[in-house]
Amino acid sequence: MRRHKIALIPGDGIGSDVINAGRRVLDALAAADGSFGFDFEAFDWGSDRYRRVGKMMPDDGVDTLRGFDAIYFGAVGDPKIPDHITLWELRLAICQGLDQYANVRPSRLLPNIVGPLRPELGRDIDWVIVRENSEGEYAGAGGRAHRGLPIEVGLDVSVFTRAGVERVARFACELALSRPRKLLTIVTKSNAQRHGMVLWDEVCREVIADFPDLTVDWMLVDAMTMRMVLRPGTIDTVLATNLHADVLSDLASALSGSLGIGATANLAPDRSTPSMFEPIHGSGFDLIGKGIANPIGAFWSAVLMLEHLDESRAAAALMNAIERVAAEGTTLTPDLGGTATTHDVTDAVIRIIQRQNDAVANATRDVAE
Amino acid sequence: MKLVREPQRFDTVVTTNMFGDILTDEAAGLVGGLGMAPGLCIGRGEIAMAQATHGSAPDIAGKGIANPYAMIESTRMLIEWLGRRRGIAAAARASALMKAGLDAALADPATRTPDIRGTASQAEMIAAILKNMEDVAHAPA
Repeated sequence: MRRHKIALIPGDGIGSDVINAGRRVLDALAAADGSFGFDFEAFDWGSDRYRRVGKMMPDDGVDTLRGFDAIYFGAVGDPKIPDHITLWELRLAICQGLDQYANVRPSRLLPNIVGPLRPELGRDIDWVIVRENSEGEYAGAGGRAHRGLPIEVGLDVSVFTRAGVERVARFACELALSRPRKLLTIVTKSNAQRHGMVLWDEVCREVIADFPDLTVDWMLVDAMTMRMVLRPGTIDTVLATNLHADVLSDLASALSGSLGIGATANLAPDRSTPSMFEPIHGSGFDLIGKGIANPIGAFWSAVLMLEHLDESRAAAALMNAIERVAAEGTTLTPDLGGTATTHDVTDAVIRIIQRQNDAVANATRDVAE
Repeated sequence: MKLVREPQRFDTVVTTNMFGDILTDEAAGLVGGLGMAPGLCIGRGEIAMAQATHGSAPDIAGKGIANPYAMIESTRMLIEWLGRRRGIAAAARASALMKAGLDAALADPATRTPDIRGTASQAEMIAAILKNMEDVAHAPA
């Protein structure tokens, strides 16, 4: 039996609600399939730990994670601790420490989800945004001088390296090629940012030369936001820098409905270190203890994790179950207009997984007989 | 994201050069495209610059269908700015007149350009704006 060693980091707020829900669903998938299983280990890293001992995670946290096949992450963020601490000392520390250089975010209107665009535009949304996840504008380079004085200055320096751009561009090309439309949009801002972004353009141009079957177009980041709103059907796979994709993926989630359903993967594509999978929603402090956090984002993250672990059959079964629950529309959390709890939605997804499995088993037995 | 999900929450937004670049294009998309996006560049000095934020659009050059709204509205913003900056009462009245002319032209598909679901050419839209302004100017008070 294939065993997958998964690190669970529920993090803050509703993170634990949705990660527990995801864990139940993953166990149900493994039980239904029978050919693989999970060894979960949970870590209490996050803001509560910061309050207790002054650190979001232990100093050797990143090294501890190296022994796992994947990381299943909840959410981070606390009203009483500055975001730059919760973000940099946990999520970014893991992403950068494990060199998860490609962040992948799919966007699609699930059945029954009403987005803000006119229906004929909204149903065309089927995008994957690839975000450079290791350098660029969030490399952390910069500083402040003349603190407190009238001449005080703050600098954030973007870092673009040939190697960094090349590897994420190659990953985006391969991903675009694996999708039916074979269409890649490269987002840039080289008209205004004349150094790093021009290097970005040059290296991307070199990489796409190796992918003659790909259709490639280029967009300035500002014009890209407008195209996503006005002509969503002309977009498939998108490659953008760390900051640009950060902005574009938030817009994408707004255009594709609830924040509660989106998922993202922080990938180390060469698999020498574990990748991390997480819902895009935050820690949802207003929802703590109410049991109504939407677990669909965490389930969709689990789909991405199963794909990365090469459990494609289970990934498809889970995605199908998510879409069935959305389409039925009777068991949805309040953010999607329903009255169900996290637990109800989880039960509904697990029931569909078990039913699917029984149907397959019956069909197999009928054929055998 | 909040611009899409809760547009009613915002009135005036202040942001950096780059974020403003991105957000203004997103906002333009939400109100009908670049043809609907005017702009005014203001500094401390005595000179402001009115500018439609759209590009040169070579694909529609010479076709007579470019939406004039952004340019005319930029002009109106410039006149309004002049009025406030230099205390010119006539400029405030001119700005109000232009606004009325633009709003009435936008309200009717027959007097607005195809990019905002209309049927008019650029010349027809401009003629309608001027006619609306005259109607308002000559209306009995």
